[in-house]
Amino acid sequence: MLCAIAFGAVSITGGDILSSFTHWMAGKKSANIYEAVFLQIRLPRVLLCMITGAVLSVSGVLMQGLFRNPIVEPGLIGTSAGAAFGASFVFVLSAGMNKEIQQFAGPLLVPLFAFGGGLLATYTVYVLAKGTKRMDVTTLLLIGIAVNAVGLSGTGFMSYIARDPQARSITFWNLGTFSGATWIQVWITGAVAAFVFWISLRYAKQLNTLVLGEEEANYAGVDTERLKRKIMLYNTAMVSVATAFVGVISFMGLIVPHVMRLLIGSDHKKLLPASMIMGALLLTLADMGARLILAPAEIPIGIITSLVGAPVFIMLLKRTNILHTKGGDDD
Amino acid sequence: MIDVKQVSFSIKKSVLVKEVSIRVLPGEFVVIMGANGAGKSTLLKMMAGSLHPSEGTILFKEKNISGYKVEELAKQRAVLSQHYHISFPMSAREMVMIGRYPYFTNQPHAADEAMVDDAMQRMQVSTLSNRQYHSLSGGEAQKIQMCRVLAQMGYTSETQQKLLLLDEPVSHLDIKYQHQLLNEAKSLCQKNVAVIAVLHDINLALKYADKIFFMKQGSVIHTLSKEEKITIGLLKDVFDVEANVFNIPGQSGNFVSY
Repeated sequence: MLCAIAFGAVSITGGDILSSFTHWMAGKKSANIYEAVFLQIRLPRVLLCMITGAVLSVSGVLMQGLFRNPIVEPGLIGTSAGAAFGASFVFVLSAGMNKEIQQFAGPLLVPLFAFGGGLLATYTVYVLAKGTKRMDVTTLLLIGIAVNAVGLSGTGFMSYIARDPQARSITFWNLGTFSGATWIQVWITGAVAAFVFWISLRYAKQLNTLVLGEEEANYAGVDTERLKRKIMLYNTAMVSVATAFVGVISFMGLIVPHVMRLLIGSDHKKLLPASMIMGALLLTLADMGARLILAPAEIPIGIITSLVGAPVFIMLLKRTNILHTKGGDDD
Repeated sequence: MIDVKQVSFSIKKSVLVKEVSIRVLPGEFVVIMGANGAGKSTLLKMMAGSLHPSEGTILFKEKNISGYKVEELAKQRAVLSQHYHISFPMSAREMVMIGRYPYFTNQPHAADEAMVDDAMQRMQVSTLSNRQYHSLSGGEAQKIQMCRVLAQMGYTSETQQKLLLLDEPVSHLDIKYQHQLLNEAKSLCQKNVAVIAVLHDINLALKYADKIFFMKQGSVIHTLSKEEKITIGLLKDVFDVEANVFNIPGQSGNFVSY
């Protein structure tokens, strides 16, 4: 974490951090450029990054538990694509609005529309997949692909009719970036995330029970319909809000829960907090990479997570397959 | 305890259960038998509260079973199903602990831990505690599921009437454990638990049941209580087989060979 704060296009020393805090505490303005970079750019960026990493990972755990499938993540079942469409809709639309509305509603409008889009997409996938009696992997993924395609074409259309600067921000946003992190984004995402984390820990037991299947979970005292509705809602809210600010970051929700399952097992009481911490760490690391590899320029972080995530995922798949065919005792 | 009144269940045009009325009292061990597709599991699922009858009502402790909350029902009746496919790896012990989930909020109390240990001892599977559930054999998994169900039943006392539903509970077990499991269920009956089990082995049913309901094409066509003798005609009627019925020397029960 400290490394992530220190390294970047502008290096910041421990002294700068300390002095900026003392200045800030005293209610004074930052004394020099380093302090300003730290307080206004670096710190919110690292915080937003940590929160987003945690959000995506926890979301992966929740969705996998809910769909009873280890390969589900927000990117695969349409949540991200739906949220992306909702957000790009606002990007284009808000250009036509007058400045005052933009300033007043701007920070809230994007997450709100992203939430709407994300919820619609996730719900569509869920209902369609459920309609096929047995919710098997193939159907789920195919429906996910279809809904993703609709979301992407919607986003594509938006960037087509958009003017140049908006189109650029949509493109960059589709690959994920933390470059524009501000304090207001940190507060909004942080508040939503904290609330959902707290709620999801209360559902850890019920998610464990769902491992048995919906009917059995019902016998064991879990109101599965209510559980599904609630988790879907909270999860989509959390992912959409994060996605609205930082764009689409794939593979986090897949890799982190997978790694944690191998390390500590599938008990949601442990899995949820562990994935939260691991997600925060990993994404901060990836963001550091995004800033440093081509410094002072930046690579969209989504490129890094996909590039690193995909091979790791394939490796993991092979490992778990071997374990499963051997009927491994502990994994 | 449970009162099934003129219950039917149909999907689209096919009728799976037709106008069934049965009554099970606290402390009774009831077995449902019948050929494949006779509607046994469907009836059991309706009594468990997961399927709703198309017609008729099911009263559990004098109250319509669909009127219970899921959490409420979980503390008064437990269900052992035929198949379990779990989506994520889990240790055998945690699987049993799921049975205690309705009774605590975050962390299990000492009493919950004790009950899990007790259930695993009763089914003689304590050594499987740390094994991964998906690495167990079919029989071992079935025993673990029974432990989970026993843990869910919790402490039983005569004042607290509970219901235990077992759908082919011994299908994967060797002879010793078939008896072990059914004896466990039977011992619960002494504490006013009503047990309703679907079984395929007529001799097991004759040994343990206070009452047997025979189903065919969705209806209960025969009822046999403990005092009555099973007949060749009944077996022919229900299963469409030519069977022989023997008296076991020195015992009151009968033995069926087919």
